[in-house]
Amino acid sequence: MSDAITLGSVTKRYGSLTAVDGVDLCIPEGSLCGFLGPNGAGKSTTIRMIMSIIYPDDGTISVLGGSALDRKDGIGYLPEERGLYRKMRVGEFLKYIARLKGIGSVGLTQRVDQWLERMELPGVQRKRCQELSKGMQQKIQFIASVIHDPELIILDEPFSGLDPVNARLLGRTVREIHESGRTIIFSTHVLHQAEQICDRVIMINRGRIVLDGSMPEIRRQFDPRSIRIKATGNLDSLAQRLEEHPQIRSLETQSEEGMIELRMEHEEETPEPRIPSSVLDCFNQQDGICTVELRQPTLDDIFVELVGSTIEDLDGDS
Amino acid sequence: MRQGKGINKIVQVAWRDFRYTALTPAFLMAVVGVPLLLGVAALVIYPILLAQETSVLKGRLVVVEQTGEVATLVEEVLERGIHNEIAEEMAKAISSLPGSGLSGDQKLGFMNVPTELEVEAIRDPGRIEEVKASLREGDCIAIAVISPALIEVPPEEPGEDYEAPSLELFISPESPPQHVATLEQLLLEALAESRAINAGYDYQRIRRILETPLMKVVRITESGEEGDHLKLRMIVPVVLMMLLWTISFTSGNYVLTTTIEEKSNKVMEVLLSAVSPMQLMAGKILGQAAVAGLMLVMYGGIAVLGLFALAMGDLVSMNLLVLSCAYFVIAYFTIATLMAAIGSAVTELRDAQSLMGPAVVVLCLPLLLWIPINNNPSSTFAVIAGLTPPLVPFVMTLRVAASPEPLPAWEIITSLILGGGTVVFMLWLCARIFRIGVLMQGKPPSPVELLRWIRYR
Repeated sequence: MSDAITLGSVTKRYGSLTAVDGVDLCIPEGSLCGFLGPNGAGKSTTIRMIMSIIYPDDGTISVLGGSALDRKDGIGYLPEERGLYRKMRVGEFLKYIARLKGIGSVGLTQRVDQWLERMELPGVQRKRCQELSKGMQQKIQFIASVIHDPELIILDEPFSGLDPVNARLLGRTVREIHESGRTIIFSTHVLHQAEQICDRVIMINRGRIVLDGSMPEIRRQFDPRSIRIKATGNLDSLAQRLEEHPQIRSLETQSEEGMIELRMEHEEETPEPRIPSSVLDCFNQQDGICTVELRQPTLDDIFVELVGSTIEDLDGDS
Repeated sequence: MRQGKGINKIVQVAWRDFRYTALTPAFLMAVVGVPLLLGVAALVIYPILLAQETSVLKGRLVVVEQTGEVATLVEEVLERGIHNEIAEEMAKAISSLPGSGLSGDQKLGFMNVPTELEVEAIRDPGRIEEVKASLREGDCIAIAVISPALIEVPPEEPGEDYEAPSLELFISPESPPQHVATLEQLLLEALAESRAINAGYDYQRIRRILETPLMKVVRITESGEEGDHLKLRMIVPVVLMMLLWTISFTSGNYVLTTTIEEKSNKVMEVLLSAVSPMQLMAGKILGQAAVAGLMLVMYGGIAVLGLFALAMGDLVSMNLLVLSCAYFVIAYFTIATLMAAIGSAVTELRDAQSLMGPAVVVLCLPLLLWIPINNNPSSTFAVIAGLTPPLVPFVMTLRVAASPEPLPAWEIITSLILGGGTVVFMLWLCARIFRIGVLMQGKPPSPVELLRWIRYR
């Protein structure tokens, strides 16, 4: 499978600030890839360079085997800064963008109608863009980015500002488009959305890629075997036994809540998460255990482990 | 194939800009509706309005004077009709235009107030307050106070201490201006006649002697004799230059505002995902060029057709029309590229004003220099101004139209080359700024930053 996007040592500076710092990246065709990171991490700058809207100071970028300038009609792009012609009618706006993307006039009206129907916006063709709600405008912008059936779709923060119902609709549509063989990249700083949708995740912080891999790979790589135990009675003896266990990396006891949370050492030879039998033996020696929960690491957990702080904290800083 | 796609994108952008600028009710009303209305007004409504008479000047005019002589003359003037020199001159001038709808001896109704006046002379100046009271009560419409000095023959050589006497006219607050003007003409004519009689002259004879004759100017050309329209011949170059200037700036302003609008409503990035900055810039400039062309056809076309309809087609030769179109193209592209560059560099219209300031001052120079250039289109000053970018299109249009003789070919060719070169340079400059500026948000760039954008590779 060839790569839809290749970045080689791409750097972009704004004065003294290095927004993107020597990024190397390959995104294979057919991926559904999340581009994650806090605000100001360099996501939008990287995306704009991929789109050839701005140019890198150093490095090379290849999109669909060439320059994005030559392949604009094969790319769909939803920018972070949303924009519509306020006085233009919805149908005319979508047709205008489609024509700019190389779609002929034959069947264009039906194509627009089908997309509006699909995004649950029937009957808005004759409305002016300014008459629509913010969420509806955002869905129109999404349609504008995919109406020409592009090979590669780049969505910059597509879910921001959408209510849960519309966010779910958009997520479903993105997955459907992906299933039809399209390559999709979307940036977000809401990690759980990426976790639900993506098959691959790229995490960027301060202009550098800090994580790149498929979700199972990442989970494997960062699987700390976090186990949460809820029990009644005295937890001290159990905590003592677990602390002495060679496979337990760290342990935290919350006596008031009757809970112990422990992290285990990573084992390369056991790719699938499971609780080692020796640890299970420790549990069996304890009376009053209610639940034992093997927790998967979330992207939030991974981000904290990599960067040392949460995305929300970094957002606040930026 | 790729080039064809690129051109198609430029055409799409141009059509959208044209469609949303020119095919809107407001624009159609301003550019199509207003000239049509003016044309209809000029041909149909205006002659009717000109011939419309104003309300009748009716009531009692009290003339306070010791002799009663002026009151008698006022009645005589009323009987034979007030001599309104301005109205008669205007009527002659308008009736000389073909299709004006007025005959030579027809009067302009709106300038001739019909009168039904009753004149009363009061010889006792002591009753002035009593008469004023009757004016307040509406018993009379005006009081003219004539001092004896007013009807005396002025000295042949007035000394330094001579003070010309003045006429006092009291009117009611409701008196319309046309009525007051008519009363003034009536009284002044009666006073002039009174002075002439006192000096022993025949006033009617003096008036006939002083009447200005009509002058017919004939221009002898190679093809024969043609009637000349001196005043219009002086106006046409200025009107033509103003037309070029106004249309170029109006359309250039559309380029500026639509670019700023696309930046401020954030649609710019969506567009740039589909077209390159150069395609966008070219489309916008060409779209507004079509708007400018439409305006030129409407305003210029109606003006030219009007001149031909009035048998004054000789005022605009084919040579002038062709050259004006060429200079119009230069003027439009010079200004539109400038406006596109400024529009791309700012996010708000008010920021554009400060960047436009110096350029507009330079481009306003033709408006300040038109009098000396129009008076002597072949002077050294006019030649130099006509070959100075970016004034070339405006000054050269003025010169070509104002010059009685065709301008030397080398001046025309040089001006076209210089104008074309200016357009190419401005396009290059605009392209350098546009590709960076369209993505910039926030405060406008400083001149140093603009230079950096231009040099940026």
